[in-house]
Amino acid sequence: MTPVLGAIQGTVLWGGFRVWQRNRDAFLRSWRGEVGGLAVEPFVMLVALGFGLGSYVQDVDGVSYARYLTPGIVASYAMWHSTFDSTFGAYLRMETHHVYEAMLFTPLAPEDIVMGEVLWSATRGALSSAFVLLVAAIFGLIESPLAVLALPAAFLIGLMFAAIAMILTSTATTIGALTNFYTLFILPMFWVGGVFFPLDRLPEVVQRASWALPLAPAVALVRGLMTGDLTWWMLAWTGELMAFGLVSLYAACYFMRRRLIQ
Amino acid sequence: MVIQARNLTKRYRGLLAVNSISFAIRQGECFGFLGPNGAGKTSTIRMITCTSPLSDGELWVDGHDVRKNQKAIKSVLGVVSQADSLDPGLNVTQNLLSYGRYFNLPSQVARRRVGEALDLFHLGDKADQGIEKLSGGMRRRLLIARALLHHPRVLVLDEPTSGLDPQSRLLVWEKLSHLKDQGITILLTTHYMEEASYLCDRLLVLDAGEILVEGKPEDLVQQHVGSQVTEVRVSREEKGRIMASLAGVGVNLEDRGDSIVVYQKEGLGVLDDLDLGHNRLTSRPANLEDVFLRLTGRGLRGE
Repeated sequence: MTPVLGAIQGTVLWGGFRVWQRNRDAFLRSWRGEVGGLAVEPFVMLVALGFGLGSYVQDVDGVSYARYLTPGIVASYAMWHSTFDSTFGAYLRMETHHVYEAMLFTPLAPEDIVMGEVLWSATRGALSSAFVLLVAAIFGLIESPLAVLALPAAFLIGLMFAAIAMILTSTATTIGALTNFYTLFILPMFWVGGVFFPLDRLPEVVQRASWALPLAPAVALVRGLMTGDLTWWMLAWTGELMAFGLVSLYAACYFMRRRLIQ
Repeated sequence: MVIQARNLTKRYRGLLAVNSISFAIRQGECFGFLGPNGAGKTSTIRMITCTSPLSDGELWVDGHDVRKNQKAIKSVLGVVSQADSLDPGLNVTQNLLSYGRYFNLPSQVARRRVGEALDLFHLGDKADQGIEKLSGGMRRRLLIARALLHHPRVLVLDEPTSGLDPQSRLLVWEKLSHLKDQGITILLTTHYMEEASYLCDRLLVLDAGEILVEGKPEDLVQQHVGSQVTEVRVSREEKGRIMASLAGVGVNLEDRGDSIVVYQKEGLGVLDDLDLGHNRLTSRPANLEDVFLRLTGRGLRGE
């Protein structure tokens, strides 16, 4: 083994890649059961909300409701799917299936495991967003070629939410504790995060709170890319997502080591 | 010395699981940790495998300090843990391949070794099956095959045959004994005395976090029990009288409820003088189980 290869293999990113490969293999083994839902769900959602509900709703900021809604769905799908994998999926792998235990008997460390889980959850998130984008393209709801950048954005959004979710998973004592994360954090953001209507319709206090939470900047970033209305704010939002992600990743690694190495 | 421990101690929130034990395991030997539940076997294994930090003392594995070079240590150990940690998300072949990747084996090497391992452990026709299709014995064999894929210097097994049927157990013993012949160092915990005498070159008996004895199985039997064990079945009324007369002869004995066990260094002579009736005597060679029960007593653990 060359020194360079050895140095690369010693990093947390490489360890994370090994864990990512394991999750990819497990996913590819059962993808037939999941891919149907991934394709049908955004289709139904866009038809029901975009065209059904949208036909009663006036244009939002000068665009049809379906066009307004789509970027929000792209961003929130990355959130839902990555969060789900890093909460229930990860908890199952850790507690029920002893997957982490087996990994710890190899050169992998808790930090490698967290990194791999987060990378994989982000991949799942980006994959679900890709299906939404595909359905949106079929309906002619995409205005700008920059929309392809919504995919890496979805990956970043997934990475951040997965890192936040792993803090919870690494400290949860029962699988039931994970549901609070959805009712208290994910769902409220979903309703007032700028997915369904512009934030400026909300009271000032709620607006401020919403911008401080991670979904609003995520939605705004994707909306900018899909409509092609670029602003400097998009850099700030990207920075906010990265900051949330890095701090959470660091915390998740700390709690995971405390949980696994006793 | 492949593994060396000095005053190794483990505390979990006030509970003293391992109390300042010292031992050394040589290259190429099969070393056993024996002890009842809660003796500290698994805690010691977890410290050796770098999955539990030491509370006190020193521990070196393959020349590395466990407090410092954990990645280096983990890459020379093959571990079969007590819990079945096969990956249910993956099939048999993938379980092995993913492990090869965790150890950074090049993929061609890993593929070749996986093929060899499946043949060696009689799992060839299960290669593409999900692990839920495997029997208990197959699962254990796959766990061992997985732990060997990166050619570890030390194979660590935490109760490798618990819960297996006699056929599967024999097969596992046979494989472990072949591995020993090939020169791999084996460290195992068990509470099957037969397993310990069959496989271990040396062993130590742990109880309540401390080492009771250490040595070769046959020496331990000789030292602590003798060569022959005679069990005398007695009724409650007779027991006092017979115990007294046996004690008078000066033999080692143990009260096991409805029987008295007599340990002897030489033949059966002393018992012939007692009027016991031969139908109530059973004689057999002494074994490790006698040592174990003598040293750790009959009380149930963890209850």
